[in-house]
Amino acid sequence: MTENLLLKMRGICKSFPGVKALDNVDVSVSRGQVHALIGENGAGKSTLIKVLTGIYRKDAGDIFFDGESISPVSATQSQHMGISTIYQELNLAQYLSVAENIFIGREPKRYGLIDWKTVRGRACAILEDMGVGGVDVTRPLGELSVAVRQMVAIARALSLESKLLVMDEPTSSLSEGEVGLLFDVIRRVKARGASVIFISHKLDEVFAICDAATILRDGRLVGAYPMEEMTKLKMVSLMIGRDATSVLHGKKTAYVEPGDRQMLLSAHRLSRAHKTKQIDIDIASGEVLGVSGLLGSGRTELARILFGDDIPEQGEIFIGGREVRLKTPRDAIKLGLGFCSEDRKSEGLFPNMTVMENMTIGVLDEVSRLGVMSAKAQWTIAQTYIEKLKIKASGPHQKMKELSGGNQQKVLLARWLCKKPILMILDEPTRGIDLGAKSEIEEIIAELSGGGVAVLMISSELEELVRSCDQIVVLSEGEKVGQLVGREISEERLVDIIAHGRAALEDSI
Amino acid sequence: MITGSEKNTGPPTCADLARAAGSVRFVKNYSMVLFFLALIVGNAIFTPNFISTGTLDNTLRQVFPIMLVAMGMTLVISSGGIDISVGSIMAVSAAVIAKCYTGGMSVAPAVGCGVLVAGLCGLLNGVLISKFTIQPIIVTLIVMFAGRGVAQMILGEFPVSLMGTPFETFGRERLWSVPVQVLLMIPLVAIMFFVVKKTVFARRVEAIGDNRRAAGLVGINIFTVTVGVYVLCAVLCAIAGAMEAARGGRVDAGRLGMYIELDAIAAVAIGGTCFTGGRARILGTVFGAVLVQLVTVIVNMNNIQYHYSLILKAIVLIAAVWAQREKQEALE
Repeated sequence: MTENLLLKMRGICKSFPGVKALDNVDVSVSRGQVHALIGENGAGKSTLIKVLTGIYRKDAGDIFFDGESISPVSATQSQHMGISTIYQELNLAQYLSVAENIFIGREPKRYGLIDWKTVRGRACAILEDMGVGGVDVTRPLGELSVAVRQMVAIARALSLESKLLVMDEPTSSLSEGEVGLLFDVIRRVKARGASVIFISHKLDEVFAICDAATILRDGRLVGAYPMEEMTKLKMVSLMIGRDATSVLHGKKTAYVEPGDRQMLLSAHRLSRAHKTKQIDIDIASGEVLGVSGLLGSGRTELARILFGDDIPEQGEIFIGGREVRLKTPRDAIKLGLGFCSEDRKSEGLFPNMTVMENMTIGVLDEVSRLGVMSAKAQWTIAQTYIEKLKIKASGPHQKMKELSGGNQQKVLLARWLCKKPILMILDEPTRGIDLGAKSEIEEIIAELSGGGVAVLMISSELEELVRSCDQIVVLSEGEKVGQLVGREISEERLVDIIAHGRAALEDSI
Repeated sequence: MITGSEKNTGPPTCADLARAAGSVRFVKNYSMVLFFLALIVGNAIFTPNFISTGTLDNTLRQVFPIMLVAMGMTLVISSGGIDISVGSIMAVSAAVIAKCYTGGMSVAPAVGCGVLVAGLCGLLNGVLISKFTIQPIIVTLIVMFAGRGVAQMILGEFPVSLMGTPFETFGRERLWSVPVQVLLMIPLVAIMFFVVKKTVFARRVEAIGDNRRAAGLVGINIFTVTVGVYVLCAVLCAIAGAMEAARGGRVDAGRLGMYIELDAIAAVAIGGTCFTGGRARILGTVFGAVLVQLVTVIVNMNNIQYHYSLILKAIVLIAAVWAQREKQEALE
């Protein structure tokens, strides 16, 4: 074992009932290295991390950390050894202050009481050392932005003298500026000699910050590569195991002509709680209408109003020419609307129910008589959509939580497809989903609109919008600041509107 | 099962380890059944008269209310709620039945009134919980206090005797030497099992328990389903209350159904229904109810003091929770 190696995992195996999640995987991380762990959903990244941090026990294999063979049995134990994890969902206490969070469980004491002065002082020092001074360490964590919370999690890890920081999708809810800040912190961590395992779906970020990458596919090791030898295309090809050119590029070629539009839903001057301001929107049958804009631009709020989940303070909605008042999602569903939330886990999945039950939950009245469900009718629906949407599941009776993100999303789409909606509202339909499933979901969207269904698609990914949409509306701070139609859609123009849209709007007034 | 049957001499492979883990898991998964069997066999040997029709008779008659209440509780818990007012609802309905009957009504309408009043209690629970979004434990605590008070208000301080009435005769009835409680229990369990497995209602209950927000977004009417769950539970309590009155031949409004919520909740826990909501395991609950009652019976028969039965139940619960934890880990 070379002196410079901090972590070596060798021949790691881990099986779950019916699935081999990890099969003979090796990973080596040097000191002071930022090491990317890459793979599609279900490739085994999270399982590997959970084995490393003691949340799962490995079935076979060895882990050497800092020159010693270890087999952690709990997260606390691995933390004591010097491995800290910063999760997607941060495991910090929202109501405690920044300082308390950093020192929770090992507060410096004086005469048996917590020495608050020292706690605050040391918390400030650590944060300043990371280059994020100026945070009020007495404020409750819940009042601060996600980015700051993440910094606090890192500060906590550093104060524990961690030698290895594991970051699982740390940038998924950060703005671009905040990502930059995080990268600065990572560089400082690196300069102190600590190592980082960085998991992300965003390849740009991997290229920006990582020194080396280990790629996994279907629970197996594809290989480990220094970043200098990597290109984006090569990486994608290795991840999905096929040529990636077709996945990454491409633009929609046939658009619904403005003259052919048959208006399905029109909304005028929708306003609510300063999050959406006087928004007008028109969606035609068979059309994919994109909604673009940064986080907090009012995209999701708009979707919620259209689905009856929030009630607008002002404005009216017409569906098929008739004015409708949507007080609950049920009202919208009765009119033929469907909605997939950006937050699959807390607003979409029934994790402990089966794939079949997740799919048929919205059509129970149609598969039942006098309140008694027909098992056969449900089975048929599930089987049909599993095949049609190429859902990777052992069968209709597999539990939803055992599926990978992409397959879960397909099940949620199937849930609405079997209701034959006239308008689907999709909020970030491909978030956190691997590239293979992503292009399949885009195909489903295209097929839907081809069949005459109107689709309202919200996405942060411009490429995806450009590939899928007939029209794109851009929102900023709750207002509609621009709209692109048909052939005028391009990434450059979208970026331009998002960046300057507000200014342009003000100029025009 | 994972394949790989050849005898190997080398270091254990993934498959071997998975197989070993599998057999440990088997023991854990069925730990409650094993415990149950051990309890029966152990007592058959050591407790005098344990294997006798008298013991069986008693256990089965006494488990009836616990089983009914626990089945209602199973659905409530699977919806993500809890109902600690079940004992009081039993008392209220029994009190109403006794009052109506002694006031001159015949049996059927009197029971009807009891069920109706219990249903109203359930309605109150459901409406307060889902319309005013008050925590289920608070709401049902309120109804638990109020219900017990109302029951005693209706009947007064002293127990009302139903001796010599059709109630009492029915409560001790047997057909082909099978106690009437068993004859009622079998179809009721079958109905509840069918309801949970096959009805749209139960599927929606489980969906709300599994992810309330998602359930709202797929168009489930959370209000009506929640109210339905608590009303169903209350109606089962009413039947349990009526049968308890019949079995004892009297109604003591201050004591009937007292603490039954604890046994019912224990039965649900042993049965494996998740307390944060989700899948309702009716047969598990039925088994749990029998186990809880068996503990009480065994303690009584051996002249052990009451407090030991509480401690024994605590141990059973700990074992149940342990078994479930392991099961969940295996799944994740």
